[in-house]
Amino acid sequence: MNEIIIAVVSLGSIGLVFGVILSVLDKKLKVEQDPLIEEVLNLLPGINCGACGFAGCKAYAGAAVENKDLYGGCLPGGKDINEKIAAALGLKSDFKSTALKVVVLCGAKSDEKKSSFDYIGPRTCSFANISLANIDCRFGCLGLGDCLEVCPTKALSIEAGLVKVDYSKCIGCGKCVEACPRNILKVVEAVNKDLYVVSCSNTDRGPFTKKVCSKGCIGCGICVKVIKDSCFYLEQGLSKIDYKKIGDKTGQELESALEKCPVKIINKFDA
Amino acid sequence: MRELFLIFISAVLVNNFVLTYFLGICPFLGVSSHYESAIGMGFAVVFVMSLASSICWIIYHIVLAHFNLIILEYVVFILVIASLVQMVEMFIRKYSPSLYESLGIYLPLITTNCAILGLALFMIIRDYNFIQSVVFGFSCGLGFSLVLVMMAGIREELKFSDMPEVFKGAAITLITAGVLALAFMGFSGLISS
Repeated sequence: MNEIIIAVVSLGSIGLVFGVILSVLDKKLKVEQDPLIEEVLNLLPGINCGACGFAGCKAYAGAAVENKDLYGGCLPGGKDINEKIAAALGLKSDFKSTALKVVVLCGAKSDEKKSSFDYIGPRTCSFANISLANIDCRFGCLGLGDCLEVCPTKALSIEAGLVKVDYSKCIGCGKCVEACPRNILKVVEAVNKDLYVVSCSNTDRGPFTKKVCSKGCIGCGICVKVIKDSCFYLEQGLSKIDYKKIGDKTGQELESALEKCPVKIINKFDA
Repeated sequence: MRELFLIFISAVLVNNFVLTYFLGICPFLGVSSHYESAIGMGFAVVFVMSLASSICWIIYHIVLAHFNLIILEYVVFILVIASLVQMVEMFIRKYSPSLYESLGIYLPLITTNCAILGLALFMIIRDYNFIQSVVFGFSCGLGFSLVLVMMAGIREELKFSDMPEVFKGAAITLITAGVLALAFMGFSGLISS
């Protein structure tokens, strides 16, 4: 009986001493943290993509609470989340409904791109690109899916030898842009809900492009001519879109360019 | 003096906690991906181990041995270690928030770290006196940090090396740890007694 009492008392007093020390230290070493930071952090998507220019959602939340000009920086969050953050910070929201989306500058499915070789090498784009490659076009999508692996939201898929973007999932982080050895992915700002893309990156002249792909830009320039002060422009025999200008054009004008294109490579996506 | 030096060498190199006794593997694998957080974790462990060994020794000899409560040593040691870790955590959060962020979950994990409980138990089994226990605790911490920092250095280099896909991540980390343990076996003849 006596032993039990000794054990209980001594263990209890050891615990008590440590408890007192800890509670005193807790008061003394308390770290003051703005409760707003936590509130903003809970609103953020929490995927730590870094599109805001900070190391992660937590770093951004801390910076946004301190410097209120930074609000609206969360691109994946879109309008909803940025408005909520503005409300939490006591600001009025004027977030523009622009969203960064990735576009694929190649539109040829596997039966449309010519291929002279049977490619039996490793099934990665980076290897196929430095070897003879599985398609003849030096610019087009190899369709082996290096970009799929790096996509944090699984927005990309390969369909008939061509990468396809699921725009409801794409957050425009640009990770796939780095992964693509052929630089056919590009992050653009989709101002309208519609996203127009010239689905080709082949800078060869028309006849050479024709030889390797039936869906290649031949550089005819019709898209440039059909719209006044066009948002399309030619560079090295390849039509490109100036995404800064495209916001001013009406849907009708753009539709006409889409229809006039002889090889039908201007595509419209619902972003 | 010679005794203390032998304890030091033995704990750091010959009977290294991580690579010979395989204690404290969790933070060894978890915090060794970045050099800087490895150094921070190393310091935290050295601090906790030195403090834990001295306080555990005092409590063991003054309270437990005195009242014949040796059977309770596990509970008491865990209590001491948990409180110490909590204290270290408070200090780090106050004075080095960036280190606090990078250590993350592993700092509370020192609480249940077998290396520290192992330290306290070894110290009792080997019947060290107070000075020896403190030196033992400090050198065990140092040995742990040494291995942790070495591992972090190797893993930082590994990021840039070209290796087959199957080895990437956990696999190469475990292989590296095994090779390091093999290398440390070379120290086993260093002290003959």
